[in-house]
Amino acid sequence: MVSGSTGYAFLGWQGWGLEHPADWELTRVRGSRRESYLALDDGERIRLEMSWKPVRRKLPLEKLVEKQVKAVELAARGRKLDVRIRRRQGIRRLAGFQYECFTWQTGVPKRGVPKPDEVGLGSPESRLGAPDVGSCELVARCRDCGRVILLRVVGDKDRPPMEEARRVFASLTCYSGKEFERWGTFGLDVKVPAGFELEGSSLRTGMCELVFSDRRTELHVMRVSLGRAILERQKMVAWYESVASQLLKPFVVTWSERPFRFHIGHAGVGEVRTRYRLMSVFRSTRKLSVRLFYCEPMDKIFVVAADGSGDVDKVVETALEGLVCHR
Amino acid sequence: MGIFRRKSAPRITREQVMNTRPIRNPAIEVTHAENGEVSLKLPRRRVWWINLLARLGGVPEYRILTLDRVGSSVWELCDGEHTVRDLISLLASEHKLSRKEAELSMVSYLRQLAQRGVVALAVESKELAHE
Repeated sequence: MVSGSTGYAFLGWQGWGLEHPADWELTRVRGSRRESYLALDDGERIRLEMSWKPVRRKLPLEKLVEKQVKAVELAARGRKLDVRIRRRQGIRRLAGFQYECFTWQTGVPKRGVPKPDEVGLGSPESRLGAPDVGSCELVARCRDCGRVILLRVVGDKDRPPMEEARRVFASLTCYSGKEFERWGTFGLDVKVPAGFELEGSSLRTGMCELVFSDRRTELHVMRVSLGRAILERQKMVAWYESVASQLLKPFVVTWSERPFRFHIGHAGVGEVRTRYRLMSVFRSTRKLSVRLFYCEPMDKIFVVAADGSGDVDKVVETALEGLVCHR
Repeated sequence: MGIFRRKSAPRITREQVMNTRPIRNPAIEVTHAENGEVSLKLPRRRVWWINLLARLGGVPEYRILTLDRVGSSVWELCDGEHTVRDLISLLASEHKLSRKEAELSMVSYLRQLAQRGVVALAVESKELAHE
């Protein structure tokens, strides 16, 4: 996702995937695979909100939608706003889901104009307070995993978000039961083998990192910006050894040059140092496999590393195959 | 206890931060290296305990701060003409960063420079809203 680019970008998180306008970026995320919330903004305001949780399969979708519509009406009443809700809006067929789409539009407040602080800027999870806001919402239940997702695309009064919403909703995918899960945010787009769960994520200056784990292996996927500036100062391997010193500490790593998709790249294989092996007899089968490469068109360094007692090489190769760098 | 009440700092919104214009400190000596990097000669802080340490010989008069190539290019643009928003979009387009990423990097970098007294951040007074 390159700044200033037009078109759509991919967001993949906790088994969900969708496309969104490229200038919307992840701004808020919390929760787990089971139950979570995330939001994307366009630099000015929240544009897309997603929240999901498991709901009893017996509970009909109709009831869930009614509940959501009531919540919208109640929130509008609380803010003394008129709200127009239109249910059963048409969108392209979503395979694998039970779903309904509805839209709402708030009118001019009945009593006075709310101050900016009162219109939800401080609380992006409740956009309804804004007098100039309309929204398209999708309530969908995945037939495989049973999770129910609420997607909300927020627009303006003079710019209904229907066009974006249709595209976003139509691209919704759930990766439950598939061989891999696609994760994507801030220009990092990778397919992670099924069974790995997110352990941690971080966005620091120029660095986006996702850490996954199954019981035997930990998988680190990293995308680092300003690659050219970094590589002007030091070699790629030396840079990585300084950045990932904690991860590499228990290992003796042997590096070799290995290009990846015509990019300059390196592969590292790590064996546990003798003293660590003596200290931890049961983890003697622990290994490390690292691949790093520099994608020149994107000016980014990508790192995929797996550490554990599983087949780390296979995990790294699978993740690498599904890694998207330049298009 | 009104006399002990500290004056509240002005509240600055995100929009105001974006419209802020960073200005280089003209009192700081600057050296340009051939590779485009900028070195700044920072005088030590003039507070009593640092002055005391300096008398005991523990603190040098100046400290050299070398900015890397990216940091140097940002430093050059801190001329009071460009806003933080301009700097973010320039950084993003030049180094193929996403908007959010460029914003995070730029804001934390400028904050560091401001804390060291290397740049000042000019906010239009009419934009400031006191609590």
